[in-house]
Amino acid sequence: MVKLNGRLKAGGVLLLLFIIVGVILPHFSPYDPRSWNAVPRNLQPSLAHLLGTTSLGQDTFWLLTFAVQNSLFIGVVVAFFATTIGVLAGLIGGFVGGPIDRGLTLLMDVFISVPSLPILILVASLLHGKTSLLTISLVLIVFNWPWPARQVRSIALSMREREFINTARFSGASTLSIIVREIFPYVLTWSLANSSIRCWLPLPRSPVSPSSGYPASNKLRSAP
Amino acid sequence: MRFARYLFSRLVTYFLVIWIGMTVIFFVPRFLPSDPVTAALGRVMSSGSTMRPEEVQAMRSTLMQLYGLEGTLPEQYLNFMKRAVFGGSFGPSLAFYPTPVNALIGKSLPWTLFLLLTSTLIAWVIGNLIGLLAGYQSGKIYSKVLEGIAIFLYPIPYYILALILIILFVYINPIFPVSFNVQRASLSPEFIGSAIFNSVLPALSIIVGAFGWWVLSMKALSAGIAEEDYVSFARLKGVGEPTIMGRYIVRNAILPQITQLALNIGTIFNGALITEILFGYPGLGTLTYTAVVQSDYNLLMGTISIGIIAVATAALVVDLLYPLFDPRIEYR
Repeated sequence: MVKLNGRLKAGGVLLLLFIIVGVILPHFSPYDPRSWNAVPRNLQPSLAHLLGTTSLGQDTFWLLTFAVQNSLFIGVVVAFFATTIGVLAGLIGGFVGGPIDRGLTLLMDVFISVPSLPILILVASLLHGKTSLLTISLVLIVFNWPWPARQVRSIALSMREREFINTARFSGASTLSIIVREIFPYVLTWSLANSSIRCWLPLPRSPVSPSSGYPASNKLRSAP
Repeated sequence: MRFARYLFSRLVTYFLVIWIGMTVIFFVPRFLPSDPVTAALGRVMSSGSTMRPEEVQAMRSTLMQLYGLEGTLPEQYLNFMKRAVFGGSFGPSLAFYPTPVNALIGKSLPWTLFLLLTSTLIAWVIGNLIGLLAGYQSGKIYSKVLEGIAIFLYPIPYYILALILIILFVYINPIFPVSFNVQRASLSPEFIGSAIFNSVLPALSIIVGAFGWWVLSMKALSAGIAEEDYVSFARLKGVGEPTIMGRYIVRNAILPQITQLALNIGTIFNGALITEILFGYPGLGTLTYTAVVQSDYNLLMGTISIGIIAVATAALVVDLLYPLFDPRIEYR
């Protein structure tokens, strides 16, 4: 029997809470929380409306469950794909070097240096406000993979010169197998940590769809 | 020789990044459905002045010229590149006509650099120290407490954090001013003192909002290195803990952190939009915001181009400096 430490338990409980609120509860909503004037406006929290209602006549609690659902989806998808693509690109660029590295560096630096906000506005306007969660995730992935890629590349640059890599190379291991079997384990823990950090990404900055940031920013705007 | 070849190919990449970036930000606003000239004309018309049709027409063509919207798209592109690359100028600002964009940026840039360079560096140092302790001495009580604080603060959205600070230190304990208020003067001691005093709150909000990231990242990096044979060997040999942390762990873990720091320093030149607006700070973020709100194309192009050049330069510099931090790295 594996002994769970306190931190793992706390994390598990929090994760469970998120899954209950975001995945299970939205199906029990008595009405579509996105529709306006479904309930009286600007109510204080009560038993009927646990977190009160918004100035648009939406129930804040049910709106929050939908928001957590969206945040959870974007967060997990973006964190997973941005980190995976970033780590792979960084490892290949840093380890192989030469023209392949220059090409990958070019891509990374372009996506880091061009500010994402104007592009997001452009995408939103081209799609006439019908941005799906998938499109938002895609744009966020495109603008987020270069950051871990740049960091992993610096690790790979240093790893490449280590003794055991030479040993692996002289014993006939292919480039791919060296990257996957010798270097990747080194960055695995860091990648997991990085990916979990990135899960929080949609919270403060997703103005397009009702993610958790949205009710908060709405409340702030309507506050005196 | 190897270095020269590396430098050449890296420089080519550097200029390509800047060129692609500038091209993207040239085309993106032109595909947006909003038309800044019509908007500007509308502002003039709605102010109540009556104009004859030919006057409106003349004004429209003047505005087109000012916005750099004359001629076909390729012509506009060539003009923009000629003006920006060879003249180093982005033309006059339209929101603050006729002040040149360069002058506006020159006025805001020192403020942004002052605030963001200091707070980014402080957050980096604090975050990496705590991360190092949390990764290497994870059993110690102070490591747990410090890491706990970082993990607790990190997920709080930045604007909530900033508002909490404003409520705490402006309304409940009125220590700091509501918004940035420094008299422009010569570089006298009073001026510097009041600039620092006014920047404490925005700087604090950035440091508190950013250092958790460094903690979590550094913890993961140093925990992996703490398991390496050479660290165990050093410990058995009787090397002191501070030396192990400073000379063994940090030197092997710091590379990704330096990379990220360099890129962050590059993005400083974009300004800190939310910080500067919340605290009324006169930096590049506020300038960009004004440019967006007033659809001031020239100013927007100017601020974004500065950001692109800065990030590309930071990435180039850190690539060239890697061997200094880790002598094993060779230019390839």
